[in-house]
Amino acid sequence: MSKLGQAKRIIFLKTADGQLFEVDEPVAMEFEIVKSFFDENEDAADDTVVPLPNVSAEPLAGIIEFCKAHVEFRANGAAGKDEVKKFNAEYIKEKSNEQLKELILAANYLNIKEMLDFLTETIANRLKNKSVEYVRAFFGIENDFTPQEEEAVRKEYEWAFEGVDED
Amino acid sequence: MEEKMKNLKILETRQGFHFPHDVVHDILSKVSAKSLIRFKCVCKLWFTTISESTFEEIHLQQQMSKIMIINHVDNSKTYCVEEEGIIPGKHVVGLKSNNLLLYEDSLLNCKRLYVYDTFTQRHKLLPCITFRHGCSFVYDASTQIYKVVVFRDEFYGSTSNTRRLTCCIYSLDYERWLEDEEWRQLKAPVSQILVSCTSPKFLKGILYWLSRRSAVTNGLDVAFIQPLEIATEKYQEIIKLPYLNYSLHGFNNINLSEIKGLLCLMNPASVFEFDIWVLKDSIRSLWIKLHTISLVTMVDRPSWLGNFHGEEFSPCLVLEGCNNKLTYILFQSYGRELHWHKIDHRRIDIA
Repeated sequence: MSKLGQAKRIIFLKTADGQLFEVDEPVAMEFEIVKSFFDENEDAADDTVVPLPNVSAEPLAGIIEFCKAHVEFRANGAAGKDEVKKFNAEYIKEKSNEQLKELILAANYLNIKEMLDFLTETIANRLKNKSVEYVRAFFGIENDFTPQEEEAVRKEYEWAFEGVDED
Repeated sequence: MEEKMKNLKILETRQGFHFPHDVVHDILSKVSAKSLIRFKCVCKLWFTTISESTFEEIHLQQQMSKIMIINHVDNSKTYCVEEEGIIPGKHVVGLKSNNLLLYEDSLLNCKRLYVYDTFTQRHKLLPCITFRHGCSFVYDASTQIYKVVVFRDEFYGSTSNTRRLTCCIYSLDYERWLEDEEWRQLKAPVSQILVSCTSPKFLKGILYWLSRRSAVTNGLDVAFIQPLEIATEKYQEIIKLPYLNYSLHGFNNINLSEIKGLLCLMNPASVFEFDIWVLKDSIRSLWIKLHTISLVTMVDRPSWLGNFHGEEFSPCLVLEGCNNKLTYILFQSYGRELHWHKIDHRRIDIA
């Protein structure tokens, strides 16, 4: 119970792998998809479970952690400060590329703009100085150029292929 | 329904992740131009996306927003830092190398140099070095050591009234942040008495700067570019400037920068014209004039800009689009405000 005597509302979210998450309302409302669910179903019961068929438990837990911290930053007037940058840097430091990809797909589906911005920036940084082959593997993209076509592009922009990190 | 989802899941795992294209678009807009050009090779869809002119503009806007304005701890000074380069200018020594930033505080006589770790937010004061000119902060990838390169006045001769410049290097090992090193003095290139060194630019392991040496015979100073290989700390052959009748008013508004992986030189050709050159071949000192900005036809000319001499128009860095169509230069006005100038591009092939 909060000081005002109002119950702190909890939102129930169910992931693709069947896990039930209980999330504080302000945090859940960061997810545009959850927000519009309740906007469209105004008379939804308090114990309504929102299904998230495209998100599994692991990335969702990570997303909740991120959004919770950012909701608090905003409440404390710390948005945009060094504190936030530090949190973001720590948050992403231990995440593998696979985890990062899971997170970005989930954040995109849940439609969380701030987090998506941060994640795309992080991926862009990780692709810095990386080879074409690395990028293909990273995104799971198949090369659809013929060897001749690819060679032509490489030749035209030879300078951009210098000083690339080893895979 | 559940069965269908299960199948979908299996399909996804087998084929790897499928990023929605708008997410890919968003990621690409945040990648540097050089990487983007390389990534044209990834697949046909990426080639098309990156080649679109609307994408080029979005990308450039994104890159511009990345140029950070960093406030020093006491908030009394502002440093402008590009992600991978320096914005030279009288009050700016800030240079970012990975997550480290070099800056100076502005006490009147002894400007102290600091390295700031933007990640851990630690500051490190470097040992004092007096009579200092020009300053650059580079990362030697082969040894994973950061180096601060400065020039200082050295007075010599029997009465110590003759002045020349020497190059000094400070090495910083990130893993041994707390240990203090000493400045090391680098022997000057043979038989050269350097009197001026400005506008350092670090490119592919080599640090370039504009130098002047006093000429003993005819009294005319000679200007040139001096390269220094950072890993070995060896000077390389000097590079001649692309013009001979260089007026010796110093290097106020001449700068070195980078275009298409090549060294570029920006300088006023006359009061009304401003040239941008790229170095095609450093051994033969072969330059190509890439562009001339004419004051008369300059698009969106700021009202205060009356000529290209003096300090009104100090070019800082070049930002290129990924398709050879758009180029912006960032310049500092007299009041130290930063402006972007869009160059209307005629496609020039420098390959």
